Amino acid sequence: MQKILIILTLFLTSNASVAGECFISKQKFSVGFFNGVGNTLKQATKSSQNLKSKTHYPVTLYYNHTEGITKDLLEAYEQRLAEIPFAERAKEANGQKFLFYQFMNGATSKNDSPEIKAAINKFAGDVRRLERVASTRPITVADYTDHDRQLDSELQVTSRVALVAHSQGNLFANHVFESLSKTRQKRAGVIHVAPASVHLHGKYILSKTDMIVRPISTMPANITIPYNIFADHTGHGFSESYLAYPGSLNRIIVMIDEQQRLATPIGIHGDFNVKTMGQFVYRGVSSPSRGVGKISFKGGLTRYTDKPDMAGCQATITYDSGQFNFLVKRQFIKPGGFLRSAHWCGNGAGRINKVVQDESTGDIEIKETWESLPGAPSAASGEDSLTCRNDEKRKSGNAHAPESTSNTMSFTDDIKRVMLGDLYKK
Amino acid sequence: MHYKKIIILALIIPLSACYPLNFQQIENIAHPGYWLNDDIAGEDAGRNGIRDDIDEWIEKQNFEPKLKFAIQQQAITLQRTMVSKAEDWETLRPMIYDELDAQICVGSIDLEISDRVSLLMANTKARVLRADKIDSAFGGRTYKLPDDDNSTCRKY
Repeated sequence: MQKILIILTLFLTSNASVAGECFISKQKFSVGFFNGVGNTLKQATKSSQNLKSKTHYPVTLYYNHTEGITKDLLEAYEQRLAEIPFAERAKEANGQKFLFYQFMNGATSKNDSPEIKAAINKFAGDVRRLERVASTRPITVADYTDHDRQLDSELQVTSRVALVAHSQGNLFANHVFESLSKTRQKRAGVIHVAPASVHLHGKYILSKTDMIVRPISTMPANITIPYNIFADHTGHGFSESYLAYPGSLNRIIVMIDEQQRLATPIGIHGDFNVKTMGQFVYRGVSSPSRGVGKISFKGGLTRYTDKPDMAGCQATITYDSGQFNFLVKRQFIKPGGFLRSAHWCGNGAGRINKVVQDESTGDIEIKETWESLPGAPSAASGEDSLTCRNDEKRKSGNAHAPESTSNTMSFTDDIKRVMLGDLYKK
Repeated sequence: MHYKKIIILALIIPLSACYPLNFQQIENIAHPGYWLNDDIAGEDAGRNGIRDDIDEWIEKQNFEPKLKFAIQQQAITLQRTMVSKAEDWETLRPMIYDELDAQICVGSIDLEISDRVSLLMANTKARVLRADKIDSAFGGRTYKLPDDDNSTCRKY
């Protein structure tokens, strides 16, 4: 009888293991870096690593390939033209703010000296030639497509992304940002460093000593980075100037930190309005480490299996779109800690019936049913209800406050653990 | 108005002319025989996967052993891609990511030097064009830097 009781209790504990613990995943934040004009892949990687080492955030490089600075400028020029409505373009041109375009177009005025006219014509000729070469491969379109795809997948696993763009990278970052849905745009922010773009989607930084972008920028310079002819004769380098000078580095870090603070839970509502289980998608389960298996879902919810020191049985749970299977093992460690043996405790299957997030508190409630599979020590079934409290939101007193969240909540049947613990001690 | 144009031209034209050349490359251009040599692989008498001139440069620098090893690994990955005739992304992909991982490893020890070898590797016109071709294949791609930079060192 006692044996049956033990098996039954063990199996009940397996149910407890299924219920396990849950928490609303700690908000992940990452930085995407868009390199500027004239960067080789290795230089762009170096800048990314520099950014990562100085900000301590995960960084992904969104590489914009350079095919020679003239061609990059051409690309930048075309992208800028696409950003400006025609009427404004004419107005700005009249105001001589876009002198750069004049060069690109080869436009000269009667007041220009013959040398200037010749130089402009030569440069314009180069641009035309490169334009013909560039037209054989739509580089920009390809870049946009891959970047869009990457950012989309990044936002599936990260609650917020800051896009740090330097120079021409701003044009790419703008395009990628604008391609996001309105909901997703709320989870991304652009930080413009020496922006070669006309439009901004966030704060910017531009040095008075930047000799590449400042002459063509429509934005006033807002910082003065001391000019260092040896380190960076252009005053434009991302690593050499903007990250090297403490004043500009600090401002960039502050802007990234601001984005990080805006990181909200990936939000089961919002992006994933969970009304049916079809919308609650299992993403993967990691290998149990030290007895703790991590189960994560698209939507940012993560559950852990039972902790081994609580019940003696560890559950490995696999989910598939609301269905789950569990396998529970019990490990014995003999005195001295050398010999181990594993005993099968039970297995079963279940289904998450309902996942509800309370929009005012941020709590998530999971309702599930389970039953043993054939071959389990005993036939059993049950229901569980698991609530993941969002304490941070409660503290903030604001239902929609964009707070970072990392909570754990023990499940409803702690008493089973106690029972098992007592039996185990015996 | 003229002075503005002159300043912009003075900035853009030299940059257009020089890019993507580094000082080493400019020095080599002064020796047309070397610069126009179309041998991408170069000599590797030591058969360690590193071009002899790069090997020689590494030896001369008196790097500490850990950095030296990391740079040697980086040179091997760069040389592997450089001599490969592959142009399609699928073939180049693992080689390029190996290059980047190796660079991150060097950068975790000394960031300043992390792109030095790649500049030295592309020291003739043919090598510059090959390096550009490799970069071109990566255009529009992304590289997620490892959480722990040191983890890339353990690969080698």
